[in-house]
Amino acid sequence: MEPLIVDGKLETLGAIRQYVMAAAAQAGLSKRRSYDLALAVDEVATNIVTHGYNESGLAGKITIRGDIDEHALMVTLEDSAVAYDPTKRPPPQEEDFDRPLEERDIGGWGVYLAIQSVDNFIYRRVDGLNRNIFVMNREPHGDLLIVATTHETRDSLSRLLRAEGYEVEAVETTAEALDKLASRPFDLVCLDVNLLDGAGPSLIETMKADNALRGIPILVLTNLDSIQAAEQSIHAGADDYLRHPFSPVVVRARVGANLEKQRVRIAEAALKESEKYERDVQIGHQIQLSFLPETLPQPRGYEIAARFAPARQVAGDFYDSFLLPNQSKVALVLGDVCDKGVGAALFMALFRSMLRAFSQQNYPMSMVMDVSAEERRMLLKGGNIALKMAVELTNNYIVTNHGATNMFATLFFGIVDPATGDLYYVNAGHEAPIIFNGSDVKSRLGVTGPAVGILPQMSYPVHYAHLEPGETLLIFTDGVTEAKDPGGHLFGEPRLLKLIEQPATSAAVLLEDIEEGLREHIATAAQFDDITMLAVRREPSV
Amino acid sequence: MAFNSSLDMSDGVAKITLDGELDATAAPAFRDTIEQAATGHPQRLVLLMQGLEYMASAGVRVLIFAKQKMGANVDIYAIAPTEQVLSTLQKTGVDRSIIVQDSYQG
Amino acid sequence: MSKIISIHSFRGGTGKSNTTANLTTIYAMQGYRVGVVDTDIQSPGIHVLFGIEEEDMVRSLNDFLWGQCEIEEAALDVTERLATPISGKIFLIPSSIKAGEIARVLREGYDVGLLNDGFNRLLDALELDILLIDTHPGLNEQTLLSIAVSDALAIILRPDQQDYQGTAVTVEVARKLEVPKLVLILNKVPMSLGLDTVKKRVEASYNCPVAGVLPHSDELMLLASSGIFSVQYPTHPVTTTYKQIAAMLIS
Repeated sequence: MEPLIVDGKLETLGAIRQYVMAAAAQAGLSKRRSYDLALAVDEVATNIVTHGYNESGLAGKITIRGDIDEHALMVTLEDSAVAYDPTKRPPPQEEDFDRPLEERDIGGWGVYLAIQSVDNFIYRRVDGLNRNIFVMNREPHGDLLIVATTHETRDSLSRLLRAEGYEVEAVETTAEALDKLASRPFDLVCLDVNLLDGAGPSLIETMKADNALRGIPILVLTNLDSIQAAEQSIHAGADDYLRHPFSPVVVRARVGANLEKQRVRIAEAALKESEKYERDVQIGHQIQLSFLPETLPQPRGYEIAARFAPARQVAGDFYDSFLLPNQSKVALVLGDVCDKGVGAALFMALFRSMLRAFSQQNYPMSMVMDVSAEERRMLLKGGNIALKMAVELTNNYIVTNHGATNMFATLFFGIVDPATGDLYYVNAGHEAPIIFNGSDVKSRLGVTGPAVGILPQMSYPVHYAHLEPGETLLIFTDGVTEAKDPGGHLFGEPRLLKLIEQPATSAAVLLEDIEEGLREHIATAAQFDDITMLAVRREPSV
Repeated sequence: MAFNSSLDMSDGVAKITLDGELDATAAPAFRDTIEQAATGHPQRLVLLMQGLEYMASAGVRVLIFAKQKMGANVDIYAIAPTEQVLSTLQKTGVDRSIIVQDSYQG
Repeated sequence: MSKIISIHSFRGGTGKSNTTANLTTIYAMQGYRVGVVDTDIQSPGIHVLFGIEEEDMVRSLNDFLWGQCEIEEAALDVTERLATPISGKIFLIPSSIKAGEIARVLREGYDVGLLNDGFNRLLDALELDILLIDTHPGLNEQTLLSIAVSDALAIILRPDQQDYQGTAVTVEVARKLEVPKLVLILNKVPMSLGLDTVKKRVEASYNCPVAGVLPHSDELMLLASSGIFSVQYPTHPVTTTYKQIAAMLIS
């Protein structure tokens, strides 16, 4: 709702109440709860006007705003008077309630009444303003359909149920009822017993045969002489019956109980759904974990370490490291499937497996016949054709076979020769890994090709870098730089570079330090994305 | 709806008919009426609340004022308050020291 | 100076291994440290010319390609085996002559890049001046690789129609792979054809220099079969031709 801004004076209290009543009506609060909310807001507004502004000789505005969502109405009062937190006021003691009026203090009940009258009250001091927030949950009110042959039944029951706060529609025939049920959802149907012995299937049979309508409770409307028919209808699937003449107490109880039963059923189904989701998350995590390497190669003179912290939700990060077949060269892979959920985990497994399998093949020389002399020299280093082909074949496979899923991954794939420190790599749209020595960043291995799985027949040229003794290569996913604190601020690259500046004695310690820095940053916020890091440290020469 | 109160004094009973919305803005007018009633030294204060649509804690304050002004031995009757107004009286424990009735004979 | 020199022929029987062994020896006698790799994995043979028996081969190129040793561990110092004083060094990296191991390489293949890494490692580890690669006839994987990574390539051919056509293919591939130096060696040329005439014709048709022309004679065949010709006949005109070829390849 549009906010209302008024002067902080007693004369405007009526306008504030009116605004609240309008908001309450829009949120569908009952008359009683609307009154309670208006009272609460009025009490606090009165306090603001009399104590906040008038007594201190100040003048100021009061802003009132109503926000309605699916579950609640939230009314916010803001004023610029001195800070005052109503929740800090001690509530009255038990004996205060019994105290005769003549012995009481004249004031002091307003704030208590206000807080008592709403479902939730919150106070915040924001930018020099008092912000008082009143929350009223929106009651689940039922949409009811009455199907009855007589005007009298439709009318009396409608009136009775409307008075209880239900939305009621009333129709005369089974056909009309089915039209209504098809047009929008109803929470409960009251069905005249006289409509059950007509020709064709009864409304009960039709509803029970329909997946969308099967769960709606049916109350059969009956009178003394049709009790037997009502009992039969319960066998046929009706939930309960109401006997004519309708007693408000019985109607209220039966309708309420059946709606409640229905709500419990829906809540249970939702719970089951969420349990299923939980299970899916578990499965996704298990898939992901089972496709990460159990051990990492540790070539002489090097230390390779990895960290993987899965997000609450399943994401698609992966890392891998293995020796190239028949060679002492070490493959270093780190990727990020750009999606969430079990699907991302499955694709992570697919990417990881294909990269590993394709990079362990031997490729014919014909793969390097049609490239420049410079590129050929690069590719004819051991493992480099496999490196290029692994990325290109994976790219083509994903695009050709899974293009419709729009799944893709950014990844870094490097091959390091421990004997020389030579590092050949492909960076497919991934965060640029860092090579650093102590506190000095020596180089960033920027993007050399597009993310994998988007466009077919992409070429992924191999690039070169070198790892000197004492230098460390850090490969990471954007889960590191884009980790958010509770305020939504990113961890960011500057912070990562700052952490790198603290010289670590080992790759494992470095990753621990970074992870600790991330944990501190994230604090109580939810970890949205996987955090994955792979570090290769070449020991200083002695 | 604007607040209105009217006083009727007879046989030591001060009857005040309350109408409309009793909030902090309206409370001074109610208080004036109470003061006016107190000048007649009634034994009993009867508040006819049927038309009182709304009452904030400002109303409670005036009731406390009334009792203190008129004395502990003057009984206050609240006649036919609405469900909401009654609820406010109950929440503040005021109903424990006044007499709430659906109607008043006499 | 050329470091890696490949010796190739399109067809077998051209005297490729013989030529390689002679060039190796000539370089070593000039004081160079020379390595010679037998990449003719399918039909290895050059080791015979250096007097290596099966039992001398502890390790072979095959072991390196399977990751079982470093390539220099397969190198045999054969300098002393030649019956002549040699101021340089000769290291032979033989291919396995065990049938099972030959079959395995053919079946499994290997990473051509790994073989290239091996060449470069040999140059470093054995401090070689020159590495000669004796290739398998025709254009197979290791031949293509050898051509691609060589500083110089010598293609040996005989003056017959089949060799002419095959050599044309190899020359084209070598040009495509941008080998810095490409020469032809004419072998087994019948004296009756006129060595100089043949040389000029071949140079013209391939647009490629001929580094040397070796005649065909029964006398030569007889002499050559018993060892490395240039060791046994250091003053023979054929040895002089080998020296010319050797000089041209590293210039």
